[in-house]
Parts: sequence; C-alpha cells; structure tokens
Amino acid sequence: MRSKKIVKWGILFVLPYLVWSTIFWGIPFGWSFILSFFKWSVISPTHSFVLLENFITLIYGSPIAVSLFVMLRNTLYFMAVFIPIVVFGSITFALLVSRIKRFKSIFIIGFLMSYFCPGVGYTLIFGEFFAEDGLFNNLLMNMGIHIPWLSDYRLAMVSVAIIVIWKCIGYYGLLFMAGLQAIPPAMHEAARIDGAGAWTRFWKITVPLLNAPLVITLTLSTGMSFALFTEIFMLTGGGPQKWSHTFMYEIYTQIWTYGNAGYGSAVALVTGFIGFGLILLIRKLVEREVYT
Amino acid sequence: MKNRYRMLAFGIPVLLILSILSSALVIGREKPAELVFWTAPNKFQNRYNKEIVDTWNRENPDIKIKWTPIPQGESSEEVIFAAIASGTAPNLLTNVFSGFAETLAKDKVLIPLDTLPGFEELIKERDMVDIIEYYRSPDGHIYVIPIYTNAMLWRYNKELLDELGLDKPPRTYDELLSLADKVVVPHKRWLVLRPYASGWWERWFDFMTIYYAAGGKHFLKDGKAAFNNDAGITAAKFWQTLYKNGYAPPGIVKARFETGNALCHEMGPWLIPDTAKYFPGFEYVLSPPPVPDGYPENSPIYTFSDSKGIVLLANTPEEMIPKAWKFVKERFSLANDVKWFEITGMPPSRGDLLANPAFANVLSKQPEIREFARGVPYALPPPMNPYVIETQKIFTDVCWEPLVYGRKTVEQAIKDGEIAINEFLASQG
Repeated sequence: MRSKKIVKWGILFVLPYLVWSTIFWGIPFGWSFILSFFKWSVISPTHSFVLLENFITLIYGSPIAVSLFVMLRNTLYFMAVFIPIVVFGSITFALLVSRIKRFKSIFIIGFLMSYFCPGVGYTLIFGEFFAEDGLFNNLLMNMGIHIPWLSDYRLAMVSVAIIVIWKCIGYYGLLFMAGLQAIPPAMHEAARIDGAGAWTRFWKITVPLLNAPLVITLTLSTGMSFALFTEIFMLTGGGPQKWSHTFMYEIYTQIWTYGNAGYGSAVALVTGFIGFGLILLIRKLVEREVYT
Repeated sequence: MKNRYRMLAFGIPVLLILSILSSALVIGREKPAELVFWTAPNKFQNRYNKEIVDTWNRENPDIKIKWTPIPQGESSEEVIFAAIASGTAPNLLTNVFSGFAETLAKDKVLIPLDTLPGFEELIKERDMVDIIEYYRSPDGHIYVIPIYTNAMLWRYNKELLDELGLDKPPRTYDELLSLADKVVVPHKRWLVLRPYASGWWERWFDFMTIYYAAGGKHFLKDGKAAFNNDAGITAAKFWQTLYKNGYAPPGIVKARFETGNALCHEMGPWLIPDTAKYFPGFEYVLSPPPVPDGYPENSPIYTFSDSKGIVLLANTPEEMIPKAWKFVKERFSLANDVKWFEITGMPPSRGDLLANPAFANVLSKQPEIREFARGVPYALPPPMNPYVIETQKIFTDVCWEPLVYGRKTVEQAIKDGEIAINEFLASQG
C-alpha cells in the first residue's frame, strides 16, 4: 500500500520533466524522423514523400551535399588529433594542479573558464591568432616559418582541434582531478613500501583507477567531435576542399542555407546514430569495473 | 513534511498551467493593427529606417509599423528562412537580393508588387523603367523593388600610388600586375586585399565583379550556367595569378586596407563612412574594376551590382496590404530617397540620380559617392533565378576554390563549374 503511494508521488514529481522532454525533445525527434523521408523546403507549404532518397544522397553526395564518407573522414581526423591530446593534456593538468599547495582553486577556475566562454567570442580571437598575418605567424616569422593554419586542407582541422583542446582541457582536467582524489593514498603508500617507483605507480595504480573519468572524458569528447560547429562555421566554412566539413555544419547548411529540411533531418538522424554507436563502442572497449 | 511534498507536487503543475493561461490571455487581447518591418542590420540604415518609421507611426495611428533590424546570422537569407519556417516572418522585408526574391516567389511567399495599384506610376516617377527589368521574374511579375544599387568599384591607396609614381590607378590586368614586385611583402602587404572565403555570396565581389568588367553579361542565363566564355576565363585567370603568386591572401587576414597593407581592394559605398570615421585623413582613389589587356579605352566598364530591395510577404492579412503598399510607396518618395542617400551613402536605384537636382547637394558634398552614382547604369545585379545560392556555392566548391589553390587549370575549373551547375539546375526541373 505504502509503496504504491510512493510510486504515485514519484510519477507526479517526474511528470513535469516527462512533459518537458516530450514537447521539446520527443516531438522534434519524431518530426525529424518523419521529415527525413520527405523532400521539403522550409519555406514551402508542400512536401513530397521520397522514401530513402535522402539517405541515398547522403551516401553518394550531390553537387550541394557532402557525402557521408567525407564528413566521417573529417570527424575521425579531428578525433585522432583532439582526443589523445585532450586526454593526456587533461591528465597532466590534473596531476600538476593536484600538486599545487596554494591558490589551487584560482588555477582550476582559470582553466575551467575556457569551457564556459561563448564559442563565438573565443573563435573570433583564435581567428586573429590563426590568420595569415596573425599572432602565431608573426611569432614564427622570426624563424622564417609561415604556417597556413586555416588555408591548408591538411591543417585546417588541426587548427580547429587546437581551439577545442584549449576549450576542454580545464573541464576534463577537473574530472580527472576528482578521479585522482578518489584514489586512496594508502594504495600509493603500500606500493612505495613494496618498492614500486613513481612511473610504475602511475601506470599500475593511477591510470587504472582513473577509468571512470577516462570513460566520461572519452564520451564527452566523442560527442563534442560529432557536434563540432561554431569553430567551423566561423573560421573555415567547411573548407579548404571540404576537409573541415562536419556533420553539424552540413545539417545547418542544408536546412538554413538551401532550405532542405528533409535532407538535413536525414543527416541529423544518421549523425545521431553514428555518434551514439561510437560512444557505445568506446564504452564497451574502455569501461571497466574498478574497486578502490 | 508530507504536506510540503503534496504542496510541491500540486503547486508546480498548477503554476505551469496558470502561467500558460495568462500568456494565452495576453496573446488573445486585441492589439492595434501592426505591420512588422525588417531591414538590413546596418547602423546607417537603422538610422534612416527609424526616422521614416517614426514619421509613419505619427501620421498613421490606425496602423503601426513595428520595425526591427534583421536578427544577426551568417547571412540575412538564412535568418529569413528560419523566420518563415517558424512563422515569425515579417510582413515587409528589405535586404533581399534579386535571386533570393525569386527563391521566395517560387514558394509563393511573396506578393507580386506589379499587381498593386500605382506600381507603374511609381516606377516611372523614379525613372527606373529600365532598371526594374533586371528584377522581372520569369513568371512576368515583379516581386522586389530595388532600394539601392551599389556598383562595386576598386579602391587604391593614394599614398602607395604616389610612391609608385602613378597619378591614376592602373586600368588593365597587366598594368596592375606589373606593380606587384614593388608592392608585395610576403604575408604582410598584398597587391589586392581580397582574402579567399568560401561563402556563396563572396563570388559577387571577386569573380563576378571582374567577370562583368571583362565583358561578361550573365552568370546564369535561361536556366543554365553562362560564364564559360572568354570573359569568364580571362577573369578567372587574373584571380588565379593573384592567388598563385601570393599577391592576394589565400585565407583570413587581420590586415586592413586603410593601414597600408595593400595597394587596392574591391569596395562598396558602405565603407565610405567607416573609413571617414576610423581612418580620418586616409586618402584613396576610386576606379572601375581592372579590365583585360586590350580592353577599349572608351568602352563602359560594367561591374557587379550589390543591390537589395524590398518585398511584401504573403503572410500580410488581405485588409492590411493596401496600407503596407502605401508605406512602400512613401518609402520610395523623392524626399526619402534624398534622406537615404544622405544617411547611408548608398545610391538609390533610380535612373535620374545624376540628373535630378534633388541629389546635387549630396553628390557635391562627397565626391566618393559621385563615383558610385556614376557606376549605377553599368552595374549588373544577380540573376532572377531561384537557385542563385546553390549555384554560387557549387561554383565556389567545384570551380573557384580549386582554382584559388591551384588544383585545377582555369579552363578545367570553369568547365567543371559549368557542368556541375547545369546538372544541378537540370535536376531541379
């Protein structure tokens, strides 16, 4: 009797969230799913059912649509640069900050600020840095070096990755710091007594016990890679030669530049499935039960 | 404790319902008739539009104009798409170029203005009988009336010209390119400050300006690509020479023309007030775009027209259309055109700009503006085709970018661009 009552109250409390999610998440998702089978211009009152045509176009591309494989290649290229550096960088950041005795919170807040900075603002500033005659090239000029940060197809995505690494390193570092603090000091102490050196302790104790923040970081950074937009929108426009054309940029371009809401929805659906699948795969490969 | 939970559980939904109901009541309350008017988000145009809307609202209390600049976005076209899709589009809209008007007209979003009473008189009064023909839709109607015609010119740094011993800007490609050795400092100073950018509209200011100056007449014609000709290839070769040799920057730069980082660049009249404000004393010389070697001395030089107009959207209630049209006609009065020209510096799209004494004062005060006014008869707007955005993006991807980065020969790039655009246009039916 009592448990039934609790369930009733629980449902009542959860109801506002359910209503909210249905209106602002469930209905748009369902609508997007339906739209992906239609050819529809956002400003047109009519739309035609095209079955799988949008998905076929996505695979092969068209004069105004970038193919799935190009976007996947670009995203994987970005991930290959971004994820290793951001993970190792944020672990290093966490290890360094955890050794600081005074004003630790100032360092943490300082690094964390980048994560909460508006994307448009910091991208504009990085645009100045990466310009042909920007800060980085002016510094390199003294050594006789000029780097086409955004105008070389091999480098554009690397430049974008540098910006996103700067953005995320503080936040991910904080997650690793929390992980470090959860490791009982006695474990390190016992290993030290047994003769383990700093390097061995790091690889055999610290790294395995950081599995939880590692999984969170990998999940977040994979999600971030599939949601890459502001930096591309403002700096590269998907170029040069489509090497920085991402899924989000394609969705935006299709819907709001060309008005192809049906096709844009198909891209959004496929992006969601690939991103979600990759996150599941990463979790399966990396996630471990860890007991301290 | 139990009571507190109960209060919370019932209180939150009740508050939600009450707030929704109160919003509905506010929305349902009768308001005075109102026309929503969106204009280009430009500080000078804002000043002008605020003045004319304030005057209208004072004189027409029965129907108010609610004016706002177009919300910020990558381009006005994208914001307008979003507004129409979400049902928040205005009734009257400016900053619409010819091709975009055709895109909107294709989906029945616009009211044909030539069906409204007094249209012919308005066009005759403004001496724009010839100009308006550029804006006639393939269905025979006029959906957009151009407000201004910005004939794109090239501007040269006077100090650099003096240093080079030139008393006037170079006229031809050869004359300009021969100055490169004396002007260009790698990655610091360029011959032409025109950084490559991939936005679809950017081609108006690089390829098309030079293409029209080289004798090209159409980018698209009769539903097909029309740039694979001598003028197109000559213009594209000129640009490839600039980028290949580092005479123009291949990517974004923070350099400004006014700080002496280039000999020249393309320019619209909207830059005049900014230069005067932020770089007082900076001297420059305006000139038509450079032309191919051997281009006849006395032949007129055509250029691209960055021209935007006003449209009336079909979401306007039937009974409010006459009032909206009255506002449009008033907006195009001679007095308002003079005011527009004074405030924005952008030449109104009128055939009598140089002949009508009403504009003499503005033209005599600012000699730079006179140069732009002179270019009005030779300025060609984008084509009346609903796929201008798509075709210019295809041109950028298939032709222009490979050409800028030297991955294709000019002939190949132009040919590929033509094929891709024709295939796309054919697929649209």
